[in-house]
Amino acid sequence: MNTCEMTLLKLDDWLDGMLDESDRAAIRAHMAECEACRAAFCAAETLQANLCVLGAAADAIASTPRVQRRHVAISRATLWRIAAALVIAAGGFWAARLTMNAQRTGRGSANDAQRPVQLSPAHQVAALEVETSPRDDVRVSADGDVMAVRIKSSNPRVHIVVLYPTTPAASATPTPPADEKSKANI
Amino acid sequence: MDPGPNAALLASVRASPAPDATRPLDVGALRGRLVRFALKLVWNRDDAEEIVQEAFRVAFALPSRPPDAVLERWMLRTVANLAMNLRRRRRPEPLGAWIDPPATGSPQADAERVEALERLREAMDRLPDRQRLVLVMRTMEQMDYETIAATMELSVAAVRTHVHLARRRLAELMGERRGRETTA
Repeated sequence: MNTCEMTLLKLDDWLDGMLDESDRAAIRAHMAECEACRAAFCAAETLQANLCVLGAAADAIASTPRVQRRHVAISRATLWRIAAALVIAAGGFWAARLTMNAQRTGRGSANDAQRPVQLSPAHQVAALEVETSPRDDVRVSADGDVMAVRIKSSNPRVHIVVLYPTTPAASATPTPPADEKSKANI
Repeated sequence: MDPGPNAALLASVRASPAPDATRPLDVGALRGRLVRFALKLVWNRDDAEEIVQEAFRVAFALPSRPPDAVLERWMLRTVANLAMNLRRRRRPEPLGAWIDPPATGSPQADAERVEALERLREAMDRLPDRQRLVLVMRTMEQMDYETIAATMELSVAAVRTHVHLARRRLAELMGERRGRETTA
């Protein structure tokens, strides 16, 4: 049996503090020269110390009154959950505001929805009678030389009115489709 | 050899007084000690308290009360057996709130230390029952080999062997884990 084997046989007694000073001095002297034994003893001592820390933690858990223990648990363990809930709530509130804004201004941008309908001056807009019955998706009406086609969109606040000249003299090209918010805009 | 950062802790553990077998039995103190012991085996306070409650129930059902020293050992052994036979365990207690912060005071060092202790606790669960029991009694309860032998009804040599095997196996388990983490 070489020195390393003899030294490692005393590892348990070393950890348990059962060696006399001469034995301890001999082990220290060997470990000063042998890196493997030094590493083995250091690892074993670290393991032993960690077991002691675990034992102390268990004693603390078992000895702490329930109320205080619950308080500690809340302050440590639930902190991240509370923070996550706050972040989620803030995100939900922000998303809800965005949705409400989008519904208020229609599907396009706010500028598109609020832009007044551009009509050709050649059309006699005031004389038009565009049906606004909510049950009809498409209504066509005409007055004089202008025909109006009203198309309801999925957004109840927006519909499309396309004006066509009924006589070639009124306009050479139809007015491009335009969003409008209500009949009052026409 | 450099004594290292663990030397002071080990010295304080070695200097702590051993349990006095001649003191009169204090049921409240005994219950507290049993709960602490059971907690080191099952790591859940509710489980530990239920085990101790059951041990007392069995003890009160004994036809005659044994001497205090014998009763204490008998209770320890009963608690150990109940803990080993516990089939459905509750979630283990988190360690983070119960570990003293290291001298560095760094949050990262804190987290790494708690993680290492959680790994050690898991590794202990993988030890054979008897090895785990004697290791807990020796290293966490600071019981001497003779008391452990009397409690577990084993020879002192057998207890020493179990402690030695448990330490070696635990070192292997922690080394394997470290090796896997290094290669991953």
